[in-house]
Amino acid sequence: MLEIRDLEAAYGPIVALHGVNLTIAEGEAITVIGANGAGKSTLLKTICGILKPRSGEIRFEGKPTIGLSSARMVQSGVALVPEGRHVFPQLTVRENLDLGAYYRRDHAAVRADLEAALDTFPILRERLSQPGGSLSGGQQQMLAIARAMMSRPRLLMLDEPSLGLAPAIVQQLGRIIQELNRGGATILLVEQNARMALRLAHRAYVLATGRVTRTGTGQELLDDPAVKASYLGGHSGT
Amino acid sequence: MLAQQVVNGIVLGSIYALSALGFTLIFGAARLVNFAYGEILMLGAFFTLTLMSALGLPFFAALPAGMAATALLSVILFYLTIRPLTRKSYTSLQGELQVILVTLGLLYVLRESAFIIWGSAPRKIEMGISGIVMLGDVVLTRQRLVVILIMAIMVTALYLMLYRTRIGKALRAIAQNREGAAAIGLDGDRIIAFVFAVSGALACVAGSLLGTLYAVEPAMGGAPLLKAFVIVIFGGLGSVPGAIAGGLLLGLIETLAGAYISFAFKDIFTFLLLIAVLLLRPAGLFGRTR
Repeated sequence: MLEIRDLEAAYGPIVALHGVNLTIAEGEAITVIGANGAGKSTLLKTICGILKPRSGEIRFEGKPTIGLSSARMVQSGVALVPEGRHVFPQLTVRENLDLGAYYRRDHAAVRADLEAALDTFPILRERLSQPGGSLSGGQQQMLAIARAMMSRPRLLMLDEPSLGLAPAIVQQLGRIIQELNRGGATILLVEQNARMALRLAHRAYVLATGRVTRTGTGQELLDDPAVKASYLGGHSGT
Repeated sequence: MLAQQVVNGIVLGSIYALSALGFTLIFGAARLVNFAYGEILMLGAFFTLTLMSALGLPFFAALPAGMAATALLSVILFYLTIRPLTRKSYTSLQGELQVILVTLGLLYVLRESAFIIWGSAPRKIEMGISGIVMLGDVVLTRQRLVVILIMAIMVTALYLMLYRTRIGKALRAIAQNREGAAAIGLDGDRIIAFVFAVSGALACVAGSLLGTLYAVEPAMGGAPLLKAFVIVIFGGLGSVPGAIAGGLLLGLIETLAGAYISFAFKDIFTFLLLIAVLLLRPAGLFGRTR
């Protein structure tokens, strides 16, 4: 579904990705773990058209996508839940969700998807007419995920959804991401919370200073001593 | 006397509010400081004037046509000069500096072009409305009443657009959180181009109204740009209610200071107040710290 070849991206003179290779098959849940500054967010922003890479190739469902705007990427079925949630604080929860479906013309299906999203996140149904900024951090994360789902993406990318959330909420989020995956969405999850991410991933990549240093199934990486030492050691995670 | 000056201040403030709205919308949606905005306003006034003199249209027919022409010009300038720079990203500092330089350059190109086409002689736009209205002791020309009415109509239309339409919702979203908007693909050029169109239309109304009260000339864009800056800092960058309140307040301050303190130094009070706002409430009256 998604193929990335030799992807290089830079912010001015600072190179953030040095030739990354990554593939995702339809229906997979893929995780990219790595430390701060490893290039994880850059990778997602490049895939969804917010950043333009310096070189390399990205194909989504067989078609090259480099040079397409983020608007075009959303329309072709790629959605991003950005790091830090970034809900629209003064718009109501309902308006936030409506904007997720901005480019869709199939209004009946949008209404059905709204109902489905509110079933997945019942707390949002209760807060439908409240401003997005009045929600708690965990609720905002759910709103950001629901907003992305409203574009009916075939590839859903999540950037550090567990950041700053209580362990119980992180567990709940993990279950929801798994449910979305079982419901048919292909998932690309980027996390510092490696344990949660590796548990729900079919396959995983380790990104360090802009390079893929390891790859394998989620379980293989959970058992890998080097991964354990660098990404799982110390904190217990969830 | 006081009531009279307050009414005069509201008339002037209405025009300031309109010009600040077009300026603040672009900042809110695209984080762009458009230094050529005053010249767009000037060209808008010339469009209305030319439609009236060349085609013999009455003011109220020429104004909507002038708004459409100015909106079109604003969009063309966006695609020609700004979009090539922001293509890579709307957020890089380098891009922001380039946009500032380009719009500054555009300011001179547009002003000199107007010079060549229309000459430097100031000309007045005749609204074709005469007579006065008495509100108690206050004398108000019908023409000035129309200025206030047009401001009210434009503000209502703008609010309906922002709060009742799909693209208006998207604009508010972009102004509130750029990264969130980019994540769901709302940072498209079409949305930004639409803001430039709305901004151009508002600039044309402000310029044309200035032309009915004062005069239309190629150099008329400088003061409205400076005042739009003051108002927008005053009311909070990118804030729509801030631009309206700030515009009216500035009109009142200028008129009252001019009438009671010193006409020659009326602008000083504007900037004194600006300094006070920046010291006490740096995010502006309606602004939020980001």
